[in-house]
Amino acid sequence: MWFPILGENRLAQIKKVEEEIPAWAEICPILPHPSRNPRRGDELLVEYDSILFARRETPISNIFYVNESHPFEAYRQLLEAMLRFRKTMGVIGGCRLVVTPLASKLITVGSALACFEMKLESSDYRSSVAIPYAEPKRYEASVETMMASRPVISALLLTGDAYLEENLS
Amino acid sequence: MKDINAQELLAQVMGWKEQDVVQEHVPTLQLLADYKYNQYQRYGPGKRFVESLALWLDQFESADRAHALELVQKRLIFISEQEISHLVTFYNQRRSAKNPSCGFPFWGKIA
Repeated sequence: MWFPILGENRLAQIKKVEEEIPAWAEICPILPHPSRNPRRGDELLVEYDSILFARRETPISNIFYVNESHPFEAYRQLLEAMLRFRKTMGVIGGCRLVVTPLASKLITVGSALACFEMKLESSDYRSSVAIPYAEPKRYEASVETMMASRPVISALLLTGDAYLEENLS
Repeated sequence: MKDINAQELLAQVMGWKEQDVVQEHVPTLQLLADYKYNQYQRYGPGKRFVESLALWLDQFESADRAHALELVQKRLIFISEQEISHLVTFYNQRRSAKNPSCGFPFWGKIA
């Protein structure tokens, strides 16, 4: 089971990873939804059509969504999917789980949490979860693009309480 | 209508003679149709996205059809049944997280 988490301009990277994925593998592309740009999922689908759909004949119904700005929802969706597929594929001999995060940092954090928990859940199984990744050799960005970027800063609380209880009253 | 006929109809309306031009547009439109546009519930019997698009484009002057098609390809926002369903599930779970008594908690324990 391969879960490529799609983000823009990563075609070369996904091609590298795809070469290592067997032809019989089940592919579940993950698209961002909801997203600030409501067409983002459609555009990503078209961007990766050649590699994931035209060549691999991945069923459209295999696509699932994670919230682009909500890493914990991405974590929950991905973990649920991995647990469900492991159970289903277990009937026909089991499966190996592969996650390739190529999307935003927030979704990547969510997918890392899901993989971390899946590893803990996998102690009784022959295989766990793999995260193959292709590092870009270089980045190119024009000064204009850099100046025009408007980063969104996010804070995540992974454990513990956000506020002391005595301060709530 | 079969996909192949609908695609021929679209090519005819748009005046695409070269196979390269057809290949530039049709596979992408067909992919999006399969992905979500065919789910639109108000098509008549047997009618689906590509046929409907071709008939819609046919109402414009030939010179304007490319712009109308570009509008659909670059600007159209269609929220599918599946996307709505995902949104509803997400917000219900958020509500449950705020009020644990009305459902199971949203956040799972990580470790």
